[in-house]
Amino acid sequence: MPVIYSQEWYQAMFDLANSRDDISKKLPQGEGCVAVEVQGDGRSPYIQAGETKHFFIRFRDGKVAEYRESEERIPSKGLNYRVIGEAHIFEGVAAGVLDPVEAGLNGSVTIRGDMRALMQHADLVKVIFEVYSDSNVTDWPLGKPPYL
Amino acid sequence: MGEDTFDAIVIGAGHNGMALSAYLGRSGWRVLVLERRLEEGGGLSTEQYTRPGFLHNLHSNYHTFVGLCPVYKDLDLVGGPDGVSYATPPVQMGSIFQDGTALTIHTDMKKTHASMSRFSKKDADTFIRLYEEVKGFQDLMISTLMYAPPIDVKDIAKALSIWKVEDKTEFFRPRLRAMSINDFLNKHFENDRIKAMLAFHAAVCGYYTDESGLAISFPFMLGKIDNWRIAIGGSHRLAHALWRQMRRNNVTLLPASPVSRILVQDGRAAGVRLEDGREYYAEKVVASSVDLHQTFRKMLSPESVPKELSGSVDKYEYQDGSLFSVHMALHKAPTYRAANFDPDINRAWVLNLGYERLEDFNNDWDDIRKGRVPEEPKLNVAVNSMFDPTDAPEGKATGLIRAFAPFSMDGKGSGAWATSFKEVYMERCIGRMMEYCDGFEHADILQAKPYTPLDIAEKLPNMVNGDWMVGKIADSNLLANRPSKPLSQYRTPIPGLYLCGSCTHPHGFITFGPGYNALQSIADDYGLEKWWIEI
Repeated sequence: MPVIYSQEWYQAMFDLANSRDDISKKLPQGEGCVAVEVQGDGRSPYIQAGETKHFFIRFRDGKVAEYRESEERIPSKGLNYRVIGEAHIFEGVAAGVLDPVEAGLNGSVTIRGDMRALMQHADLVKVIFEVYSDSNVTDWPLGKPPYL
Repeated sequence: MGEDTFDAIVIGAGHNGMALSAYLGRSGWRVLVLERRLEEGGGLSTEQYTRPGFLHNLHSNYHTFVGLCPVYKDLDLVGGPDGVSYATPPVQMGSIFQDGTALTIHTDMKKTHASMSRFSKKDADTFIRLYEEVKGFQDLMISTLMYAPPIDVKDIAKALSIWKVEDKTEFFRPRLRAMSINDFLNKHFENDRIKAMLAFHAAVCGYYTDESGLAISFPFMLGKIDNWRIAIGGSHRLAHALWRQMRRNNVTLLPASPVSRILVQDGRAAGVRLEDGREYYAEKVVASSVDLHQTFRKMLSPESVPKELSGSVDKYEYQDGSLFSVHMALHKAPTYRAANFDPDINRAWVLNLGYERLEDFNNDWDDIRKGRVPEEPKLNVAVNSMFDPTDAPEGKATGLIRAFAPFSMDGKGSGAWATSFKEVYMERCIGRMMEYCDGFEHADILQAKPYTPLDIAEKLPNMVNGDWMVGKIADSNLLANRPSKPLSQYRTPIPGLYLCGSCTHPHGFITFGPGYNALQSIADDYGLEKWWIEI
């Protein structure tokens, strides 16, 4: 299994997401862009406290078309959503030990953008969460959530 | 573009119309705003109503969306040389009960918990859990449910169900759609006084506690129970801040310019004609911030209004009741006997005097729906000068009493408010307040002056029947149902004509939601870059 945040891990996640034609066919066609900010919080051993990982993901016709990590914050222009949260939360969700909806509800993860579209495609959002939360695709060499 | 031609014309200089015009102006559009009255601001009205030097907010007094609504930040409305200053009273609200006890809501929730615990520790704990749960998703839900063109409540309920929100929260769940605020309070709380305090908060926000379906909004409302703000120098200062932003962005405001007709050419809104015959033309947008009836029944010619729309305009419903107010110039701020129980009650801003249990609200709503003025008025009382010394001459105070009341009295109509009854009812309200006071007498009142539901409707015809929410607050008239499904996205069947007033989602009150949301639809239709949205 690929190590979390490695290029192989991202590829495995995207392959998994893109393999689900049942999802991609139902997703809005055309392009959508999402920025993700994972903030080191002193609990995750994978991102140092004070450090932030910035990701940019472009979806096209329901599939991941582009992914890149950025040294700097992704500019707002052209973005549909920005997802922000602490590393131990994202990693907890990826490990399947934290619920992504609960993280959104209690404010641990902030989502900026048009929530109406997410609500109108609630069933698909749920499936995407399930893909991300698949703990069988990730290796955790420095320890696996939940962190103490 | 000629001098009489603009990109957009906005009808009405209330806070929604002003905000929309400022955004469009900053986007580079030439914008004209036409206002019937001599001054801008609509419900942001502050006058020396009793005596010189005493400032009274005749309509909007409580601003609860500061810091939550994006308009304040986008348009730099708070602080700085051009903005308005707000005070946040540390003791936000309170209830005084007939047995001399009192309950207080603080910005410090530990103090709120302590106050509630004196009535019910269990309810105090429940309230804090509820408050903290809501705080987690408040930003998310407010941006989704208030500051975006609305989606159908069925879509929202479906999403909550698919995401199994019910399993992850204690209070927020799809079934609230079928419950009233009374139902919600009875389900989660046991103490009558705590229920009354929380119901009072909803009632002052314009939500009738017995209306089925409103429980879905109640948790969000409680999440901002600690966000009651007072505009220093009066609510009209917010209108000044808006006006300065309009001017900065080259928006033209013409007061005393009532619109008599929205001009439709080739099926498209093309401009307006004023009562004095002047005409102005809009190349892109005419946006009406006045109520539905004025827009579709008075300003548009009958042949311009599609038949399928006429029915929904005529059937549009308003709130059952309005507000009767007493504005007072005072020698001193009143103090209360209940301070023996809780000294903080003398420092509370928004006070409930009279509602002791949910049945008291139900009885008032019942009276109001039948056109009866409640015999024994139950009051909300606020002394703004305690937090804004500019509100009154040094050493003096301003006071506001409000009571829920019908617009039209059974058998007498609304004209009854123009008779001496208003003075009789004012004295009844003052007498009622004094029952709770400690050493506060008639001699402490320099002058008192009533402001009736009829006064509201006459000053601001947009508030039909004195309805400051500009339309019924009910499941059938919220989100994508407001003011009707075909109009809910702020567009009308007449190309180029938009709605941006409080008859649209979310509702009246100083939310800025209607103006801000209309902006989103206009921006989508005309390809405006949404500089105001930061993702």
